[in-house]
Amino acid sequence: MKLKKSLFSRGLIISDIKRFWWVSTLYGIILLIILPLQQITVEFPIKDQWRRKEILDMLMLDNNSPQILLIYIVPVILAVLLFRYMHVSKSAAIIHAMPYSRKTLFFNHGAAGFLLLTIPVIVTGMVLTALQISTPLGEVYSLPQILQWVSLTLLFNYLFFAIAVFVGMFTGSAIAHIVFTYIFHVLPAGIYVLIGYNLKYLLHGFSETSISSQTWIGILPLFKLLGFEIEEFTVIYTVGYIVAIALFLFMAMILYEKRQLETAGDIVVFPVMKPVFKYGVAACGMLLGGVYFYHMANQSFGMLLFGYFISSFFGYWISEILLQKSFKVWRAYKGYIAYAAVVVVLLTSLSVDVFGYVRRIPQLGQIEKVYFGNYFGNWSDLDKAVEIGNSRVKYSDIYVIQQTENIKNIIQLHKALIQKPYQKEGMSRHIIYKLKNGRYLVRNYLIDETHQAPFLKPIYASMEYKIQRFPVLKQQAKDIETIEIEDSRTDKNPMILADKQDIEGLIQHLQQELREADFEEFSERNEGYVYIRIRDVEDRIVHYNLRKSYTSVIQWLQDKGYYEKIMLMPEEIESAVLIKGKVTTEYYYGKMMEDKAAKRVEIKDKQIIQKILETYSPYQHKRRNEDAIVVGFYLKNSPKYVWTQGFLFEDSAILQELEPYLKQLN
Amino acid sequence: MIEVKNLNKSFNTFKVLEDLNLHVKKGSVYGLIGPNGAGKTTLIKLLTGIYRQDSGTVMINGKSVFENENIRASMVYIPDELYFFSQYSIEEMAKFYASIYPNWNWERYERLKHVFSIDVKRRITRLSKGMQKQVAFWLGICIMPEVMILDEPVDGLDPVMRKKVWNLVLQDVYERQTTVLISSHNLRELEDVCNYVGILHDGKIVVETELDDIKSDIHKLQIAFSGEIPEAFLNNVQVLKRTQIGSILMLIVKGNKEKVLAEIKNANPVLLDILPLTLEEIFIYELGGMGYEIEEVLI
Repeated sequence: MKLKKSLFSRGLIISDIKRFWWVSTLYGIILLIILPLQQITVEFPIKDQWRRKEILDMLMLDNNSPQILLIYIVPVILAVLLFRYMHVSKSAAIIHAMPYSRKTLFFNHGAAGFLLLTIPVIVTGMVLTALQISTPLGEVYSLPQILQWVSLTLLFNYLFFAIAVFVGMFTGSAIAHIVFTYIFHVLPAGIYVLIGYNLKYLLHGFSETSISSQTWIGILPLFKLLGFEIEEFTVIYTVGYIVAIALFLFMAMILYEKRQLETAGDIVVFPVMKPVFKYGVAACGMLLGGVYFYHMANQSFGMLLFGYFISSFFGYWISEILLQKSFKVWRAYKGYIAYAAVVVVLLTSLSVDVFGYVRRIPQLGQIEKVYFGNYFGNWSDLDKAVEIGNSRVKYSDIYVIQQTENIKNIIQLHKALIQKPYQKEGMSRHIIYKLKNGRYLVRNYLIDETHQAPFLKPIYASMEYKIQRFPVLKQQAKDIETIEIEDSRTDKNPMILADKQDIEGLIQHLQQELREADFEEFSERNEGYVYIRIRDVEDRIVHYNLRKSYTSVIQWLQDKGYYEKIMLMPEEIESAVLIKGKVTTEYYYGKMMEDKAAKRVEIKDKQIIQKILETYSPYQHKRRNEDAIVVGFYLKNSPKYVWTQGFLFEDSAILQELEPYLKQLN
Repeated sequence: MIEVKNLNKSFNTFKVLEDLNLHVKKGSVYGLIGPNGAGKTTLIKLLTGIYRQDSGTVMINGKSVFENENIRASMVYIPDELYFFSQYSIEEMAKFYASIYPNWNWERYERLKHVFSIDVKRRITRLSKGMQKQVAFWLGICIMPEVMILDEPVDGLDPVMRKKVWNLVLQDVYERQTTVLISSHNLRELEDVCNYVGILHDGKIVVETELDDIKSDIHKLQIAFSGEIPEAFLNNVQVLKRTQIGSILMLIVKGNKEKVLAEIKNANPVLLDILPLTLEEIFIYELGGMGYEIEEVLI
């Protein structure tokens, strides 16, 4: 009469396999199709290096492969199917009236799940092995690589299965089981990103990168698989994931034993988790809705608050309705009031800057150095990035400020930025203080250069900054391989200077101009027509604008006789067309000239054309939306199309000379 | 056999069972009666160890039931709402039961094929509700149970099959001293099979009694006299109800049958009949004075 005390029950496992073998079989068939079958349909012998790499990538869980999708889906489906009996009241009653303890049930259903996930992978592995031994595919991959594929796939399968089983213990509904499982996978990253976004609107100067390193998101299995790199998947990950599998299963079993079976059908089965669910949905909904409404309404702070209210309100009530499985939930209004009160207190304390976050500026004495610039990189690798930046120069777009005078300038700028309320537009600039105690203070502002000119000027004018922004300032002719000069308005070939004397001559003048260049010259995102590309001996290329004001460079080009070979000359122009318009970036696409409705005047007078050519300028960010005369040039060799466009601003002197023409535009 | 003491169970804030006590003797057939929503199914799920009680004890053979594999190994539970694995035929389900119940009896299973006469190759979930119930009994009896717990068991069975099923269950009770607990909202249904009855009301067992006792204690009499009805002939009889239609007197009386009859015969009635009483009537008269609206409970 005594039962065997073994946890293992053949009957249970067989019944699971009998009922759910089809999931496993389907998984196996798909694996066989996307791996061995796809490989053998490649033409033999596989000489093409690229094809080889493609086949090998399949075994490396390359993120383009549908295998990844299978790992996301199959273990979750299996977990839901195997443990669905606890979600349905009928089956929960019958299964738990059988002579099994919950531990036994859990163990055997879990084991069946592992088995059903393992068999298709092993079978695929065996087929791959057979191919490796008997076909030319043996040259493409090795047996250890097949073993590696099998173990990696199983590891991820098991981890996704364990997580799905764990999440299932919290709910009494199969649909919620699926939904919660995926939410669980993305929740940590999602909350992190949402909080970052929201704080950016609420805390002037907040930078998402300052919370902590983003690298931990990459540890989460769902994201790890998304950009899977076999080289980065170290032993630590393997061990960590195995520990995670064991932990999730262990916690799932504990929860299963604590679970009350009458909760079958409920969205959340543990009473203590109900408020977590309810307020969690309200809070996440609030953060998401805030971001949505804020951007929908052109970054209006009022709409941010409205978004907070409306989405937390709906989040709260929808989760309450789900929890109670009834629409008569109005009694729960007190909970929402309490929630709203907490949020109001939090928002108020953020807006009056209780924590001093917005006002915080380190003392000069505390600062080791400052990183200043546009920063996209990984926070934890900042120093590395700057290091690369120093050699790769402009690509990192971040400048290191170490001179005391300049640090003072930064502090002055920072103080000025704090005074300004939140800007909607401008250049995004990070100010990252590296403090002497090893810590960082990170701020991010949108800077309107025109407004902040007095504070930016001394920084931009400093040699420390200029050298980093214009590496040519410390380059010598021997460091430079070639210099390429191109006028984008013409179809002339760019001129390439490789002669050391030419290079020497050009950079001397360019250095001279850049040293003298003042703030106005390079503060703006001014477009240019003529580019200088300097390629150094290490094959790194930096671009410079050849501005009209760089007269000594232009003079040098003329003296050398290069100027005509590079630049657009008045003789090449058939006609200039003027219309009235505004300064916008639309001019890029020649759209404005195509506007047939606009009144236009055509100029063929060579002298006038030359003057316009000398005066007109490309798009300038600071003058955007100003009224201006839009100029389009039609070239002799392609008279039908506008070859280049630009603007004559209302203050430019040439407008007086153009008076007779402009009259025709009215 | 089954001992329940001070059992409490709530769903969230809703109290379903409150300080409930229940006793079922070995080899008896216990009818658990109560209106819909009285908590019968909840009580049964506690008796089978599916639910965990908030407080109190549920013991079978002196052992706590919850999570007890050994008790369940010889216990059959047939719920109101049945569940079978979706792809399983009767035969496959039998094999499954055979693999998990230690006392499974194939011989019995084969013998019962004639009683139920359903093709064993058929998928259970494709059968009608009544047939599924038959399958549940069939398989349940084959595990050689010591305890059978049946929730509204004969709902959906036709009268012939009802009788067959009861016969099988009662046979087991007589032969193997199986203990049976049956719930129903209908007292009449259990009248013929139970020897004990417990009435569940407001989360408590309000009455628990042996049917033979109660049956031998209450009588319905029809009496007529040739002339006037004598004044004092009922002085020594406990009358629960008295109605008079013309010269015919209908009495419900309590007490020893022989004694009561002797007393009445002394008054020389021209007619004295003992009429059959339904169990329902017995309960209504017996319990009428207990403060419960017993008619409502028993409907």
